[in-house]
Amino acid sequence: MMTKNYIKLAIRNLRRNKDYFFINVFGLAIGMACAILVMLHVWTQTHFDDFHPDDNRLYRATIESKMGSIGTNFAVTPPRFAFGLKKRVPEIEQACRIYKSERKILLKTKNDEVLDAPSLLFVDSTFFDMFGFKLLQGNPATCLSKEKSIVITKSMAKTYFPEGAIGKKIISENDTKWTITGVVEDCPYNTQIQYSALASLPTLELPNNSWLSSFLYTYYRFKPGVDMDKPAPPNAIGGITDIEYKLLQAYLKAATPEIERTTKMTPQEFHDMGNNFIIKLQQIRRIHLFSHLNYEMSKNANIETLIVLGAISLLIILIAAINYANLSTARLAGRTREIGIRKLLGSHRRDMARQFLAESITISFISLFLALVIVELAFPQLEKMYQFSSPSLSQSLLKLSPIIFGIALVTGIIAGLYPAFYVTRFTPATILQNQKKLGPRAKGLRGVLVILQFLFSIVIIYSTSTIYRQLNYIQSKSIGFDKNNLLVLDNSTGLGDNRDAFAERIKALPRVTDLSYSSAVPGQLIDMYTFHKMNDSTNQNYLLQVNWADNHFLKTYGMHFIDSTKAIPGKSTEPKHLFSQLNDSTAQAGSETKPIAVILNEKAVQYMGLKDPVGKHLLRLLQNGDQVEYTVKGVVRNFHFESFHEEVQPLIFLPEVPRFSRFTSIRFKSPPSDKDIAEVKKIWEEENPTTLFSEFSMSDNLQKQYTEERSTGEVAVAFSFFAIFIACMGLYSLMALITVYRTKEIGIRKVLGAGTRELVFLLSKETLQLVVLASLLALPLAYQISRLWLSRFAYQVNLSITNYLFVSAAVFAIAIFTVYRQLWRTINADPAESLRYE
Amino acid sequence: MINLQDISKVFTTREVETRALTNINLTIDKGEFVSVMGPSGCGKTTLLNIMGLIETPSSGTYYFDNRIVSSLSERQRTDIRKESFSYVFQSFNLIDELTVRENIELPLIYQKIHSTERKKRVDNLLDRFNLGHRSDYFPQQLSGGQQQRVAVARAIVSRPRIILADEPTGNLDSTHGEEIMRLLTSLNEEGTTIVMVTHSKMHAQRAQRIIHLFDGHVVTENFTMPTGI
Ligand SMILES: Nc1ncnc2c1ncn2[C@@H]1O[C@H](COP(=O)(O)OP(=O)(O)OP(=O)(O)O)[C@@H](O)[C@H]1O
Ligand SMILES: [Mg+2]
Repeated sequence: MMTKNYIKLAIRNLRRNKDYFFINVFGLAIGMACAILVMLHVWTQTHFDDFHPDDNRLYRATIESKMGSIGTNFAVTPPRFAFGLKKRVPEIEQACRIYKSERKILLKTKNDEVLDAPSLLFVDSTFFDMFGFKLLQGNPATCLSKEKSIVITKSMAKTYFPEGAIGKKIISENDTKWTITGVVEDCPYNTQIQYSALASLPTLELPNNSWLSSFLYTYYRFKPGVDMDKPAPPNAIGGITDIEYKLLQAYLKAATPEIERTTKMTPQEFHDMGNNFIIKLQQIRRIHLFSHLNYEMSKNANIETLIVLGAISLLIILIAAINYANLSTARLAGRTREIGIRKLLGSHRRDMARQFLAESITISFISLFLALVIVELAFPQLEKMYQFSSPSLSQSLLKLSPIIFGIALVTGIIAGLYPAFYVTRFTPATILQNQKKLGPRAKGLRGVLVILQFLFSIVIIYSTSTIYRQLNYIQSKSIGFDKNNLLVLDNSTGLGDNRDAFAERIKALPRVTDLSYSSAVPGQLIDMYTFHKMNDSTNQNYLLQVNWADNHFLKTYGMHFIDSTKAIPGKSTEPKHLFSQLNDSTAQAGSETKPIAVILNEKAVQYMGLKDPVGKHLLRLLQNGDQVEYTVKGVVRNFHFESFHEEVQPLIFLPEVPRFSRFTSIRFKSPPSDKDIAEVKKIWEEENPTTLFSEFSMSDNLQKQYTEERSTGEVAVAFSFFAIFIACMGLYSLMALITVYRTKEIGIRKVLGAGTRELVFLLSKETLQLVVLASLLALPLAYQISRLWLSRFAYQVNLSITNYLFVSAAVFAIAIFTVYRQLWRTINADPAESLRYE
Repeated sequence: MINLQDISKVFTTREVETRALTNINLTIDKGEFVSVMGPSGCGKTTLLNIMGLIETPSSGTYYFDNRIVSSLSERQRTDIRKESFSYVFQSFNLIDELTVRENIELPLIYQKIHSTERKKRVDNLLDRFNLGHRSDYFPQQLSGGQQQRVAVARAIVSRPRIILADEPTGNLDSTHGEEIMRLLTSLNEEGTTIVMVTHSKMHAQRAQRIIHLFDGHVVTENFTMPTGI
């Protein structure tokens, strides 16, 4: 067979040129390995929640409310939303709500064995009707319809109830006894709905009557045939679809009384003030990659990261393919005479071109094999880095095999096409006549290819440096409070009446300097509520983040008031003093006798347009129509409650309400040690034996906000290294080929009086030109990729041109070094040796 | 000026040893014009290469200007070459990527001669060698004889102290050959030392001395009369 013959010839040819073969295979293999690893990652990330039945009809609904310039951005919805709208919008076929407690809930067996259930979800009975999770035991239609029923995972059932789980009891905090009514498969890795147990939602005593306060997720399945993409009527705002518009209309109608009560406006006035609600539907499959809301059920991935990694790995493959094309044509250039003669003897151009393609595709597949070996070795590392549990490697590879196979084939074709064209470009006569002129240089198309390689390398290295500079920037940028030496305890509401005793005992520890109870701490989610300015004729609504905090909060966190002389004339700015004032006037929420003292951050002052904020009065309307009055007692400097992905939001400190105080923040003199934590835990368990001790270090926890970025950085560094390595390997061997053909010229020049310096300049001038050109051309692409990656951050490091020059200079230095190593021998050899070359 | 003592050159290539030169003793004084003759493969080119510090002898001592140069480093030899020697190679050794003009100009660039001066000298030689109309051609676009003339022009453009010419007239017709010989003679009269390999008895007669090489040995040294033909 013809093809077999080509491959045989190709292999013989490759055997004969081992160095060249090695460089090509090695480069291509690394490039492909990078690409395959990225593809595996992309593949897992793009296959989230694609296993539910009718998943193209399955949506999560969210509701955004916008008050002036500030809006809520919640993935959660109000409790009445799901079924309230199902009743009113006929297109909805089924609905299901999921509530996920932010804190860990303690679950025990009857024999006081604590269950390891990090993610307990409370769901409606329609859960198994909606989602594709397999119930292994129990009745999917009814297992969650009774109160106090719970479904546990297979592995949990195996661990804690080896002799059968159905019908057994699980006891939660405050002694609720749950009955196990089903066993579900373990949660797949590729879902956003991560569960370790499912409990019936109606059992929980949640404020179930609101259309406005959002705290649980709403999923809808729409009837078949509903056109989900139909655009809304033109009068609708925000580029929504028809179905979203219908949901919104139904929602506004249903929620009007409550809106009027809490906003002091009719829906029309509300709208006219520039406020609005928007209902959005997110296809369940797209949530993991495209949704970046607050209160997401689990950490979502970033499409930008995938694009950047994908682009980088594609560039690496291209660099390797270019090596191949360049080296094979450079080799050919020295053999033009031979090719000419062969052609004279009657060999067909097409045969030769085919021969080249066969050679390059063979190389490409040998590289693929090597790449798979590399992937096999590197995969566990990647898995650890990205902390995803994925299906087994071979299984994913199998699913990806058509693409991988395709990449190898395309790479082979790209790499072989240029040499194939190159060889067919000349007629025998031109080759024989001009054989000397055709000696390989890094010029023309080959020069362009070398430029591309360096361009890609510079783009990759620059993007990597941007990632690192941003991570550094995050590390060094002030967040407005002292995040170090802080230990935070969750579940603190469970302290109940012992909270004062607990606080006293902790404060008595010699290494503890302060302690504060609050409803929210930085890095954790924070509630938003609507406020009004007192005596504001417009009645405008303002959305503020609310932290109910005690009078030690600012001191414990090292937060500062803004310049006293300007903002709080004649008043002390000592945090302690202000807070004691604040505490004096603390009345229980709802009492209307005395305004409650509050503190705003700078952003809130700016957002509400308060001049001389201190002493100003604010209002909040409660759901029952009551109103609470507040006086601003101080303005605190902006600080970052959320990560640098988000802008600083307007925030208000309200006096602490013990039943909201989920967190205890403890400041130590130095980073809390294991011993410190053990001491705190002991006191906790003595004062509060019923709730789970759950602690974290503030600074560690804030670090976690950037885990993904950090691992992207690590991957990118590895990629940069490979990119420049492969490019230099190519340049090195290209220079080797070029210098072989230029040795004679070097010899002549030496004899004519050229010194080392002149020769080095002569030979590196071309490389210099190429790298300079490459770095100029790389600029826009490098900026674009860097910007894309940075776009996730509200606070971005400046894209620096010095850094860019530095990267270019570094790439140039590496290139020159590569070239010198190659040239050194030739330059220092006896000219006689060089002159003998013919 | 050039003083070779017991110079030998052995080429070792894969088990085969070739003795190109054996115990050569030779002195060439300043201002001399010496021809080297001998059958093909007898070591003429090798001798010239050693004299011109392009190749190092396997044994023996080379005194150049009373200084031992046979053991100098490549860098030091480069300096001497640049100062004192010019070469006309048997195979021309023109640089393919440079035009005729650039090829001739190259030694002047390495000697850091100013560009107006360079242009003057190169133009002068182009004229003299009938190469004016070919000055922008590349070597492979020239005939063998034209290439040889370019090679000679490149050798003399830098006004060296010593010219080592390996068959400078080998590819030329008698008119052009004669022209080159006249040129070399007049350079010699102006004081340039010349060592020339040639197969032409007639051209060899131009020199003051003819060295006959046979199988790596100097067989005779004939003194000729400067009167020539
Ligand atoms: N680099 C080399 N390696 C091996 N042998 C060599 C080398 N250079 C020259 N020789 C051998 O040395 C001998 C002398 O060569 P050389 O080039 O000096 O001869 P030549 O007298 O110039 O001949 P011609 O008149 O043909 O130019 C020859 O036998 C040649 O084969
Ligand atoms: Mg010779």
